[in-house]
Amino acid sequence: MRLLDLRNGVVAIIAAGLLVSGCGASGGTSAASPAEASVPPASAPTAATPEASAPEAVSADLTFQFWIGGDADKAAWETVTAVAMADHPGLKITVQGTPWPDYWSKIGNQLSNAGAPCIVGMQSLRLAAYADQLVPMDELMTKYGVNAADFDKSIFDSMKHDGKLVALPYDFGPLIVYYNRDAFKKASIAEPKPGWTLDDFTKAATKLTSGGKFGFTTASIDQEYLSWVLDLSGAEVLDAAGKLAVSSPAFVDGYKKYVDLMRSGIASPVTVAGYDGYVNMLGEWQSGTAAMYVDGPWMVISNRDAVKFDMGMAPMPAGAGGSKHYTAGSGFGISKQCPTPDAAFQAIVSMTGDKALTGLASVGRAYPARPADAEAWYGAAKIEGARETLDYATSHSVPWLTPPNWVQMADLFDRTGLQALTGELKPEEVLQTVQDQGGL
Amino acid sequence: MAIDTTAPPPKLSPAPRVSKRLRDDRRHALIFLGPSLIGLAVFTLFPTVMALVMSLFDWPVFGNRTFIGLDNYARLLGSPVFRQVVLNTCLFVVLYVPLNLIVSLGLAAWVSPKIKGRSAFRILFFIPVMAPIVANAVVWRFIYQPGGLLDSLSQSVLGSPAPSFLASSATAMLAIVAMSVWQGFGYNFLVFSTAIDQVPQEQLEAAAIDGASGLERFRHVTLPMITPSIFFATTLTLITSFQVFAQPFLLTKGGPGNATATLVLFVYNEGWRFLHMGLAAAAGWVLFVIIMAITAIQFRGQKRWVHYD
Amino acid sequence: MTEAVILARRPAAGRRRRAELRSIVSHLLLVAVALMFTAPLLYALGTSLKPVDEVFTRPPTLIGSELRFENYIEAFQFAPFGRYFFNSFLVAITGTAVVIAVSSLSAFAFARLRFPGSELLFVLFLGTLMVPQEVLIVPMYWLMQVLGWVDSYQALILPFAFTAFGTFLLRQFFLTVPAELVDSARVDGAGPFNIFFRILLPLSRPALAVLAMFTFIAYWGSFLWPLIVIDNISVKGTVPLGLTSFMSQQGTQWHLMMAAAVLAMVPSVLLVVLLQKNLVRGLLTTGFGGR
Repeated sequence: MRLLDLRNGVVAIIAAGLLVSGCGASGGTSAASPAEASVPPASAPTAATPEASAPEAVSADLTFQFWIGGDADKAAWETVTAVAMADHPGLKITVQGTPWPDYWSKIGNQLSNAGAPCIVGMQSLRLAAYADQLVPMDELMTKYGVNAADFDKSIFDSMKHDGKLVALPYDFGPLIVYYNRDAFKKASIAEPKPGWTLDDFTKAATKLTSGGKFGFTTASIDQEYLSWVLDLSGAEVLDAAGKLAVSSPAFVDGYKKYVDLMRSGIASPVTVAGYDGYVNMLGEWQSGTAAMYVDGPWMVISNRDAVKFDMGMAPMPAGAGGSKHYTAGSGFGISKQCPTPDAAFQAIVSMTGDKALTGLASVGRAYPARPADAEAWYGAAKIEGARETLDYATSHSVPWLTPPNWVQMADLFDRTGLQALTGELKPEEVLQTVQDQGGL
Repeated sequence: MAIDTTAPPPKLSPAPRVSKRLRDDRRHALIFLGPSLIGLAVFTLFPTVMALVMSLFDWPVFGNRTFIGLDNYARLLGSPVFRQVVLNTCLFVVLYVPLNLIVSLGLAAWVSPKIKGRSAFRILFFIPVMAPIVANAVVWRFIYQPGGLLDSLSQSVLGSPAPSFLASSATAMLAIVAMSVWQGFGYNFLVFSTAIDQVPQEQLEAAAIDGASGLERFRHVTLPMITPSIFFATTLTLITSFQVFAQPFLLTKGGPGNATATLVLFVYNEGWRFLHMGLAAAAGWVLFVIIMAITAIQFRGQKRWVHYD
Repeated sequence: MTEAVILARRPAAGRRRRAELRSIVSHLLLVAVALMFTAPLLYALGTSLKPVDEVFTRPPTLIGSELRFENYIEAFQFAPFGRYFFNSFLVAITGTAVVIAVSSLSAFAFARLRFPGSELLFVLFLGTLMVPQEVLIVPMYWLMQVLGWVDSYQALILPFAFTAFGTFLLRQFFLTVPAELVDSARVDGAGPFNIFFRILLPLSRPALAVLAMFTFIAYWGSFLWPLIVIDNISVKGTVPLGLTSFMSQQGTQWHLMMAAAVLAMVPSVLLVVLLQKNLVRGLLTTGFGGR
């Protein structure tokens, strides 16, 4: 029943979003993300209005392949394609998909099929492996007058491969801490706020750990350990020269600190690697078993709807070098097998346009990649301190860069990292293994 | 296969018009065999050869395919990960096959013709085989994980939490084997159960009169009579157990580390997630060769312990 | 005399009583073992009826505070399970039909027709049994790409429908049909098609039941191949693929997942219960469980 209601809600909110977007171009100025500060959004013509994006009538049957968890998820994405179909009556877009983990074990082979879907979901971290099969969009951007400056620069740039744009982003965001406000209140701990320190985090987590409950929960999945390594030592996966550097002293230092922190008793035990572990972690936080966890802003509204407590968001606690965050995001690419790339591009422009994004943002699927649409998102999220947290985190963030074989490397890192979190291997052994076996 | 060697040749009664019949038979055989022959050629023989061809190429999902001879095999054999994958698979087989046979044979002997409610027991023990393996794996993950059935039981009975079975390299494979035995013994149970039914009661009774205990009767009368079934079951179980995939895929994804990574999981990962089709095909062929070798040894050994009437 | 009789009878009675006792203990133990083996299933059934927040209660309970049959409806709302079941039935039934048709035809040729090279061909057939299906997934997927069959029903049904296993099993059975029966039909002028359809097939019901059951179960539970070859799960997905969708960014819906898992077991269980009589006979006569 709840799910049906949710679906109706999605439709209603999208309808509302369409109204909002009527004044989107001018109303967006109050959103203040750092990327936007350099590019005043009001000056940029919005490309998503039907008049601007439809120099000629297009007509095509397009398939849109995406990661889809269930019926409600699919319905949300169908409202996005509905916007494109409304903009271009000649387009017919079919949404299809598989759950997130399967998506990445399919999309590679799918893109090589003759009947490959025209529009495919792409995540910034994983895009490099598939970039060769995606249509470069730079010329299409010019042809249809789409302005790069409308998008957040960091996520727009991370949709590029070898300098060419291969996907248009729809969401992005820094990985931040989600917390259970009720639990904090009950334990009379001051709630985390921008500028809180690792010491604050540890104290709070220690206090919150009692009677079968934990202060924190983590998973052996890239977004978790990499976020903590960055925060604790500033180290990234790639060094300045773009080489894999997970066994560098700084990375080892950060990873050791992360493992020690997680093994100090404040975090629930990790039992399985990768996405399954992510799902466990999420479940523990949502059910109140653990009070804090790290995830991206794309989870805000589904989290808010899933939990029975009051939730809050905070930046990563400041380690020795201050609070640091990764930004990641997703977008839509066009497969090279697509017979009608122009039509697909126009559809994507609509799907990443104001109307679709405000709609999607307002059901909380995504923190919009167009800063101008952030307002609608905050309005819909209704989470106290969300704006403060995300602004702070975004201004203390770096783009998440990974090597082209990251899917394979992360798989190894996730599984081996589990052994560090369970104490079977020393953190440095894990990192050495990953560095050595990086490419089989 | 076991039975093949003993199957009687087609009994053909002398027909009056042999030559005409032969001609007819030939024509008809083509019709009767046609679908099978075409299907096997297209969907088994051709892919088998194609797998060999692909394994000799650098065959990325995107981009150019280049002939590289035996490089894929060299890469596999030189890779510590692949060696561990092969060892893991063998470890699984070595643990799983005997356990499966013991459980299925033991239960089949127990649920003998004398047991009341026999068909109910039979169906009960057969249910795990019938359930989709995904459903079974889901149930078992739920049983193994902290907070799950075993952990809760241990906490309430022993007062201490159970180990995290799937998270420890020491127990993960054992946990997968236990789940697999539960999931898989039903087939062999059915096979053995039927075979035991055919053991003549008179011989068992004669043995009983001679003072043989139940266990002795099983050892000296039943067991020798069902060796063909045991051979058949062992061979099939061996072949299928080398292909274990769903259990590690659903329970551990091959972790922790590479502790439960198996050959087919390796093939799947290389081919579909990491997009190295040539390497995946080569790994598949390695699996094929291992299975052929084991089966050949099996057939060699059978003469010593399998008794056909 | 009477004393002797009593003496002789007593140990016999004792033995009988001891045997009875042993039989009762054996039965009880067997029930206990059967319970142990079914515990995971009962646990799944219990969980499928629990409210979501009671899934992890300690100590574990079999039954929650209420029986929520709504879980089964919610499972169908979470994911298009109606569609998954339809697809699974379509694939499993069609696949089983193809396997039975193809294998019985070729089994007949090997069992009852004389043609040159029949023995060599039969050995070749058996040889293909040795090729593990999983070895073929790489070239098979490539073949599906070449044929344009990726994400289609035929890709779910055909690639593994031509197994020599069925041919072998049915040939064994056909050989047990008395030759005189076939010969007298021949003398009466019946062609091979008549003999096949009118005599052998009707007589082979038990063997066909065995083959049908094994094939259906294999198709119904098949996981790796659909995982690889199906792209659009909400349209072409089968039940096992659908089960994985409960683990999503919304968290794992354990209670719904268990409800769907329980439902997924029902068709095969029903099949086995219905076919049970035929199965046992079939297993006996195909030499499947033969000595």
